[in-house]
Amino acid sequence: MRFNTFGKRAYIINVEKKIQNNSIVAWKSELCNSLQREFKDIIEDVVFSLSEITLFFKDIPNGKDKKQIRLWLEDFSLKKQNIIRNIWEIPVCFDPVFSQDLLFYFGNNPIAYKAYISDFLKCIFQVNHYGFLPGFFYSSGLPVKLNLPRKFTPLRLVEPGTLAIGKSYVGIYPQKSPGGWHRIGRTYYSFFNRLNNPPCFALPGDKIKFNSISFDEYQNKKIHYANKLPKSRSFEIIY
Amino acid sequence: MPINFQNQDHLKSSIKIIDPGFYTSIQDNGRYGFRRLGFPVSGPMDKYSFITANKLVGNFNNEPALESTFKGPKLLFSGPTWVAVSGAIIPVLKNDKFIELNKPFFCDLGDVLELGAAKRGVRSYISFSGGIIQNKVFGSYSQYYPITENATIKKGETISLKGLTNLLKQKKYNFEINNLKFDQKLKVFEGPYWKHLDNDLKKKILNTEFKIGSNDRMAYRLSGSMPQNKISSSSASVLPGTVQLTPNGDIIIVMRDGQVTGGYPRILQLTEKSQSHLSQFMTGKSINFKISEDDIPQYEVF
Repeated sequence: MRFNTFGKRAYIINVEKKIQNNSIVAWKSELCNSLQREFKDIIEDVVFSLSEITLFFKDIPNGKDKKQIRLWLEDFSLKKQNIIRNIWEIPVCFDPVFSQDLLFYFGNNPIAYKAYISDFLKCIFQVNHYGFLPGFFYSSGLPVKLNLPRKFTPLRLVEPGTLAIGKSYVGIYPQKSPGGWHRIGRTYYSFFNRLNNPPCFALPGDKIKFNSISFDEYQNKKIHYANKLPKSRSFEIIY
Repeated sequence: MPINFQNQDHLKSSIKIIDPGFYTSIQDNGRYGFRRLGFPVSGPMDKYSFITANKLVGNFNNEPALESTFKGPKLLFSGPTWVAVSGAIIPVLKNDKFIELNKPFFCDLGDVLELGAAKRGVRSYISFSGGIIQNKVFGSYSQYYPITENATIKKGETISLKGLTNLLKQKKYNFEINNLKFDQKLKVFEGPYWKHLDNDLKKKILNTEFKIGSNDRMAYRLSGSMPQNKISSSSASVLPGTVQLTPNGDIIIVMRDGQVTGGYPRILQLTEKSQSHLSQFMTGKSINFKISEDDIPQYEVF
């Protein structure tokens, strides 16, 4: 098994091209979690993306550690995996006050703007991986015709709960931050809470369906619902 | 020689923050095991000065210390502890009298410690014997908002110290102090994308003097005269010290509070020592990259 070096203490395993797709996200996520648990004395972190799995070691690994990891990986990839994931229903207010970027993108044309939101609400998205900020996840599932480019000039401040689109990805800002994605709506649920364990409820491989709510409903629920869990139901994936 | 803290009096001590300085935060080795949730690793920007400051007060396990940036803090002590300051060349005053860098000194009830503005270098580390008493958040004391309540220490805040004073009995500490280096050559390993760059661009990158632009605990941005490029790279893991090439030809180096994934090609990887050196450089300083003589193979077969 070939491991590409990344500095002295990190190694990259390239995911084969034929399986570089979103259908194995839950499997990769379970592999990374199990690997980190199994080798917690020598591995400090495992991170995956579409095309790679990166292993961060606490120290430069020795030959015995490397061999054990290779054997473990081979064994994991041969075993049947039954993985439980959730589909979350996330209420989003698409009032123009929260979706001004989308309105601006369509040159204030209300027909194109409404058609976009209507098509968006028909989609089911998948949590792919976390990055950018604690609790910020990249979701796939946006049809090509709904892709929006990154904004030429990023905003200095995007509010928490903002639903936004960057090229083919959909994300929700978990905290105040600069942001270069197009803002299309706002939810009252919080996607990162340091006082919860785990601090993020959505797992890679989970699905997300967005529902439209009114501005009044958003205002009424934003305080009491922020740290509650959204509605969900579980499903099983067999690899 | 390691110092034995066993059977020592554990005296209650604390510091009150009279002035937090420009940007001062509590840092330990860093927060590991949570990158998959988008958590940066945090930890000291200049790991070597952080370790030195800790060793000087007898902390051989890298206890949490204060990391200041440019202008240091002003602290009021409420009890006994040994203190040391390492890192940037900076005036350190205890009760208005100058104190030497890289030497432990004793502070007690009513003492005021003040760090001025850095004369050379950027980041200073203030260590306390036994360390700081705080609750760990996700396995670390390192401050990073919103993982911790605040990103920095605040004016008026009181921080409890372990105040282990047994260093009094230790006349000698036996280790070499790494003096801060200001060599503009930063040593690097080839990054995952390096082999895909054409040879002309590789030569240009290694022969260019880059100027440090904006910088913070998240990233250092460098400008040179790199050509614009259309290299597309999918989002992938990055770590402190990863050198990324942007489409407009600028360079971004990920630092301790940086993102865990990035979308720009990862062309080089700074050695851990060079990451520490870079963190002591400020805006306007010129640097260049040199492939480490200790370079590693592009891949290994496990």
